[in-house]
Amino acid sequence: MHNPDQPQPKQKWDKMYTIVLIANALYIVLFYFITASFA
Amino acid sequence: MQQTLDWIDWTVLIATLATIVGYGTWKTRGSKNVQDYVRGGNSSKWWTIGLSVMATQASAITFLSTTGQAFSDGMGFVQFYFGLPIAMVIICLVFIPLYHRLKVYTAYEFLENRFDLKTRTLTAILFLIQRGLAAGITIFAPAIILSVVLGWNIITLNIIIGVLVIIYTVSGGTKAVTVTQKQQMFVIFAGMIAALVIIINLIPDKVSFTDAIDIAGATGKMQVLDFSFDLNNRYTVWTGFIGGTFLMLSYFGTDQSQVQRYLSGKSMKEMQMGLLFNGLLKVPMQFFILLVGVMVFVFYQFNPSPLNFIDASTQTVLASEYGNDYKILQDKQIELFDTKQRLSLAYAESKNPQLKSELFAIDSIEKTYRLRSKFLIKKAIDPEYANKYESLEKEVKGNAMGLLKKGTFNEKTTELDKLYKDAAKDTETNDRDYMFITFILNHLPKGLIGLLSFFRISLLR
Repeated sequence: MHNPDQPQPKQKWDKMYTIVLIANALYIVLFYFITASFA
Repeated sequence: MQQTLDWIDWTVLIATLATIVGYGTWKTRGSKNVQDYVRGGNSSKWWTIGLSVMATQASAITFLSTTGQAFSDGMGFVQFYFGLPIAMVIICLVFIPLYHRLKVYTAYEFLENRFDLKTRTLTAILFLIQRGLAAGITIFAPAIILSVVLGWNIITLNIIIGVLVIIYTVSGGTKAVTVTQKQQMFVIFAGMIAALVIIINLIPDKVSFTDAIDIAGATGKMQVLDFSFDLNNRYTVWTGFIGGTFLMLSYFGTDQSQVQRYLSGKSMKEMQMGLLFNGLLKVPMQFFILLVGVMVFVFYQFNPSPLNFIDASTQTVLASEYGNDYKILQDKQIELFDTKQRLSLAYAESKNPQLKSELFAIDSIEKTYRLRSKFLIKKAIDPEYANKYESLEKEVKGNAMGLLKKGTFNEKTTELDKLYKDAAKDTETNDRDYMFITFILNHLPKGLIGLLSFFRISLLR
């Protein structure tokens, strides 16, 4: 096993992370419209 | 429940179970080393990981309880998952690279390397206790329902289910569980989609899907988002983001039942993609399950529903000294149903705001009937509760002379109110988890019942 104290290589931001977070925001916007239209 | 499994349902149930168990056994033949057993041979692709992670989080009670929750409280529960995509991104950035670099078999192995053996042992014990208790509920919940459907003894069913699950998972390891979860998720969603289509078809022709959503909205069921800061409200946008993120971080990042799913990935990229797949689909998946529950609610606007969905509890209360009170309540509900049906149809046609508020009022009255039914059942099954309630009620009602001090009187009134509402928390009164299964058994076509029974059994791991 590797030494855990060894500094971890820096992780790069993947465009998939952005897509997942934007999709989450879009779901909330959609839910906002559903709430506004039907509730 | 009036209906049990038909021979077609039995055939579908046994054939589906046998196919998936057979497939799992065939796919995992020759798995002999620890690498295969604990990390699934590090051969899983991202979609297998993603579906496996989703299937692990969803237990049988998720599908029964979530639909039941939508039936009584609406769509608001989906907010609980708003933090999940954030947690997935953090785990991809921090946890997975660490676990992958150290080549650990469990999340707790990392803690031994980072701290010491004592820390690893403590966290592993905590996980085993917590998971052991959760597994008990995971097995017990569908066993309750299967015992009703099959008419078998619940203890026998718990043992049978427990032994079968242990044999399958112990003999096949992580790989056996992971490889079959894709098929299970497919069957579950095929069943849920079929259920939704059938529910929509069972609603009167005059009422379109949009009308059905409008009817649900009139009773507050389509209130998806809640931006309030009310601390008594469990599901708001804020609790979803703050509480949800931390809860999902701990669950997906440190709970071995989840960690072992993505550690079975072929590469770090596959592990990350698997979790991101979950982050992308979990919110719409929960929304869809809740929508099925809401549509069942709309279905019951046009079809009579039982006052309480637990048939055994209804029989108990009807046979008790509270039987007459319960029958009166049932009659009131039948009267209310006629009005509710008429109003719902009228509202679907006209969308008149006046009718909307009337529908809301009718639904509120029905809620009070349902709460009272739980109270009567509780009194029938728990004489100690009945005595406590009646003596407290006597004290409060007997205070016409003002003998009690105002503070004491208020305290007792609050206590009485709490006691009344607490009746709904008992496992024999709280029928939320029985609503969807009652609907399935009474209204879905033969064959599909077997398929839906399968997913209740299949989600035990």
